[in-house]
Amino acid sequence: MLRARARGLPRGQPNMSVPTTEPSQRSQRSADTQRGRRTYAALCAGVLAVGLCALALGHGDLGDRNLRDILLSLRAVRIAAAFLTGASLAVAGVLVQGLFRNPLASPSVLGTTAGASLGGQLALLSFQLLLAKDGAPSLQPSLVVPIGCLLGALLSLLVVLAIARRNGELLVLLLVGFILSSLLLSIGDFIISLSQESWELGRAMVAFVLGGLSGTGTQQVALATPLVACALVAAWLWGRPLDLMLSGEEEAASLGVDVPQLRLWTVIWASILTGAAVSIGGNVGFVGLVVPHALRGFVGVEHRKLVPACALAGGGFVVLCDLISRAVPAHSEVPLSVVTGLVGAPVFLSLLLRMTRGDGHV
Amino acid sequence: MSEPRCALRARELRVLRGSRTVLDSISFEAPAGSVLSVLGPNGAGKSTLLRALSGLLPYAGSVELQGSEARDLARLDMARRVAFVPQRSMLASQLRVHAVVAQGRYAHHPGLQHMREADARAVSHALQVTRTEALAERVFTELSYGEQRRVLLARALATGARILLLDEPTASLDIQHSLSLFALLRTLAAAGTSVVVVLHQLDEARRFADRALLLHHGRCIAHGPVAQVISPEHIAAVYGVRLLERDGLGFELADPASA
Repeated sequence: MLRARARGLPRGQPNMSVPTTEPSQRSQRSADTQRGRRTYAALCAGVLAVGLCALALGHGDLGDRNLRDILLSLRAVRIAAAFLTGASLAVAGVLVQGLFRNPLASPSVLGTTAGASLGGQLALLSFQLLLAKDGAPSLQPSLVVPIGCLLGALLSLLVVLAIARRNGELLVLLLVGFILSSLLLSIGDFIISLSQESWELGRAMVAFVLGGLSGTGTQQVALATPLVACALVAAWLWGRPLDLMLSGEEEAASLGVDVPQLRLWTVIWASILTGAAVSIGGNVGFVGLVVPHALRGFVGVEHRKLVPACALAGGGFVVLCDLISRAVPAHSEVPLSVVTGLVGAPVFLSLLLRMTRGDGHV
Repeated sequence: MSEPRCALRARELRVLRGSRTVLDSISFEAPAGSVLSVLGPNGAGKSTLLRALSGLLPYAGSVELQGSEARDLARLDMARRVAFVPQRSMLASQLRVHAVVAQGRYAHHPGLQHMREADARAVSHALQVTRTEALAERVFTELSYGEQRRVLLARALATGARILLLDEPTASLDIQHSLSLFALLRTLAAAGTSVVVVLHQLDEARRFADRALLLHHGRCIAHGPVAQVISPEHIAAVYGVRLLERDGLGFELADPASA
């Protein structure tokens, strides 16, 4: 029998009546919603403006009627490629940062960036050394390299998953990704050193590793678009369980999240996104690490809000960097990853400083 | 269908951590509508027991939740039946309290749907009964430890689970909040919830719990009505202290020289 034990309890005991919501809370929530909407509106406007600039600016005269259509279609493909690269890397960053509960994690921690990069290098090497000599007219390097990137990302993903099946702890995943990255990057460096024997091959290899969109065509974009679209939608759908993962695996599991499944699918989608990004734009650093980090201050940490915002911001950012890379007067285009670092670091540093000043948190 | 009288029943529960046996041969029942306190010295296996009961650790033996074997339940079904309140949350992100409490509804609509009216009501209700409404728009990590404990309890209540497992909920709470918390647990129990709570303070257990489970080195020393479990013999055997009952509970070292 239950005994009455409420003697000596303070006033205002909990009651089970119908709840109410304070007006101040509603106004706070609506202020958050307003802020989120303003951020989305600003991002959409920014992406549109950067896209239009990228379409209007560049080598070649749009006033020439004969050239205008060709130039515009070439630039449109390049803008699409840049946007896909940036959106993929930024959302992959959101996924791995959510998975590892670490805002300093970047998509490369899983080893798939290095895998995709090595796959691309091997494809380039094979094409130059074997296919080009023996004559394979139906195969273009612009298609061989992205396929190599995707295969490389897939193989490195399979290695990570095989180990994750044996021991799925996050620390093990992180270490496996780190070791795999080191190994694959070393092999990639070895291939670069070998390719220096041939001036043309060496140049192509270095250009690929530094990242760039100058050689990107409709085929790469068409190859990567369905993969990126599926992975972006999946990242958004997985948003709610990823929110719960912010409290750690144990709390997420106690609230109903199937943590091993979530871990597996997050690794798969993040790897597809990084593989696709490398296949389009080569090895573009910085975007996946910093874009999600900077956006959290504006749209919050909830993944369903963060994923679309990061896709827009990451895409717009790489379109801008690509525009700069081809607009800067130089002997040839400045590598994309150089521009992402040079433009991104000060911009995001100032954002982070402002956010830190604002509420004391990053 | 009427709810089984016994909300939670463990039989011959055994938990291993690596090759070490952390819990062995634990059998007890937690009836619906009662508060069961899990007692024992540090390292007795109290927190491990709660983790095993909430499906977070593999176990041998049997754990029945509302008549179903826990290991046969899907993760979402499990989360709708049992809510676990850890000692401290690992949440380090800038999530607002309202969003943290809303996480408790995940098991009710894990898919694409937005929060429905029933979910919103459950969240508001949980905020209200834990008196965390005023904190709803604050960022969780900026709250005091005591406030965070109340929010974690609100999240557990939002799940609507009828079995509530709490790991040392009053640790670091001031007396006012401790008493409020126990009053809330009693209210929940009176409404039919089965509350299992790990406690360090024996006087709290004596005052607020109906039943007790006393653990020592991973084994069950005593289980039953709280007054029978907190007896001089059991306390001396488990804690090595003498139980003094003059004006309420008091203790002194059984062997003062050992201090």
